[in-house]
Amino acid sequence: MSASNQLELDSELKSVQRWFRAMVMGHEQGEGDVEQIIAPSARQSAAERLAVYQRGYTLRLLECLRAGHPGLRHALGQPLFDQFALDYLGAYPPRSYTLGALGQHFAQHLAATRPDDEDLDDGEPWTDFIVDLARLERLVTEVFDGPGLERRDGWEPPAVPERPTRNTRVEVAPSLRILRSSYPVGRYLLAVYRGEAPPLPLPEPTFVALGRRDYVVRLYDVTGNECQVLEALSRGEPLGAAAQNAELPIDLAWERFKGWAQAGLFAAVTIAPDSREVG
Amino acid sequence: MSLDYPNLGFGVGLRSSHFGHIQQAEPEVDWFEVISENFMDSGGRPRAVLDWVVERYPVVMHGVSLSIGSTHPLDFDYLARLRSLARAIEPAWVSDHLCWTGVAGLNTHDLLPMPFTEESLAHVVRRVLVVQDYLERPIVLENPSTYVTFVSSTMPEWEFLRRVTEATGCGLLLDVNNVYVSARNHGFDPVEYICALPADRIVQVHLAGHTDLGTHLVDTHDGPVADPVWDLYDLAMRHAGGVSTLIEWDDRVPAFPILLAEAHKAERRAAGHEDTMRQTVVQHDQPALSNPLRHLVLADVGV
Repeated sequence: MSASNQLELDSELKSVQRWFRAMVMGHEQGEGDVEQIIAPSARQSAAERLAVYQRGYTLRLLECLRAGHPGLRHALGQPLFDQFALDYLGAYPPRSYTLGALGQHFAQHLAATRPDDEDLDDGEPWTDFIVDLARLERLVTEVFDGPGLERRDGWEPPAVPERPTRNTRVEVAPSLRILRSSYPVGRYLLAVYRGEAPPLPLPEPTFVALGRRDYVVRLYDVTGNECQVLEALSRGEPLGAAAQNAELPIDLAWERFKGWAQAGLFAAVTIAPDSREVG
Repeated sequence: MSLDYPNLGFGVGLRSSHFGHIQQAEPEVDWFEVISENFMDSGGRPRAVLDWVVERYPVVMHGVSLSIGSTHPLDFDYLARLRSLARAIEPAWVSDHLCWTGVAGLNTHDLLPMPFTEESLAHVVRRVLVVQDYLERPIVLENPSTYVTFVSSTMPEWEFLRRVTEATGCGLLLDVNNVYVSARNHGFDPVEYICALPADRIVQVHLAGHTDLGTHLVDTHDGPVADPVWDLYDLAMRHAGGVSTLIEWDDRVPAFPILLAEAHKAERRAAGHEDTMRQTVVQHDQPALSNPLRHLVLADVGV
């Protein structure tokens, strides 16, 4: 076979695959070409046979998004969730080799397509809740299967002295994530995971820290001040300065700090040699 | 390229819903097949469980995203991750499907059918050789279940597969249920299909359940293996001379002992013992998902 013939033949295969892909993903309508490309069977027309793949594509991805968003499904109800999910799949068709990446832009898409609050019948800005819940569910997925501390040889929660030390710095765990929300999305999602049927919550500024210990994802409600401290520690700032900037008493910050260390939010804790104990 | 892959016996797919049971009970099963994409990026429990399994059982890597038939360029980022996982866990072999999953940078996450033409053959052969060179091992290709045939096809699937193996030295994963499903959907003789495959290239057999939608069958992996498929399995084992067998069950996944019982049934069939219990095929008119969500590993969240 000559090179030019090969190119011609390759392009024929390429054009069939482009057409098939577009038909399966709903990017091309009409049945004009179907019977020229696909043969009918004894029981199905060419279009009916193609439809097996078209239905399968939508259903497979929809089930994947449903499985990763139990909280959103509960909040929206399945029909509305499916509507949002299908709209998302139209805007962000999958490009990755892994379905683990399928929902990575879902919250972003929901935020970009949200109706204006004044357009909502009930006047409630519940769309903020929906977007934040989508963000939280994505974070849960990332934390669950992302890097953690469990595989580090001999890792144990870092020892923390009883008395506070201002110059304490940490290496945060790779699984640590922090979400700020105007709704209690963490409590809502945990209730769904427990099999409860929580009602849509009222607005309430909340801060959720996500971590993983023994391969189980944990959600921790923290206060706004504590959230500031955690974020400052994540940036490498010492605890004393972090607590001061967050207007959190050092004794209280230290109590929280010990709990976070025990929960596995820190990979390592370093107390500088020149640090002074407080109190 | 010679194939020197062992007969591992009778295995089952490693699925996340069984992680706890497997680690607790350490069941007597010959081997596990793992979905490569479930573990190649995992830094969490799935990978930890896989490492635990690899220390105790033979493992085979089975992928769904190689897209060997696609006209889109090979994804070397994907291949690098695949190779990295293979080097880490040293599977008995690495398999995927004779299919394509997308083009133009888009991925349907389905195992899409190939037109069986000379140009498709040349294209697949070229890519198999590249992949085998990169992975430093012969790969094993599975016949997928298909729901369309192309007007342009000039040869049957079994001839296409045979010629791919001849040109590349790759192995075959003979999915007997897929042969049956495709035979019913397209009207060919499944016995002719199996007997036409090069026996010395068949490394492994898949068995699974399917769903009858009246106008066509769908490879749903959501129930026990059907009787006509068991009969074809008997033929496949006679033809291939006894090769590794694996039960796939990916939707409505049962408790592990039920899955294991199917593997034991395969073992009895391979030894020439027919079961007296007959299995009825699921028939319904609800949407049925082919190649179900073998990727799904749901998060464990502390409540």
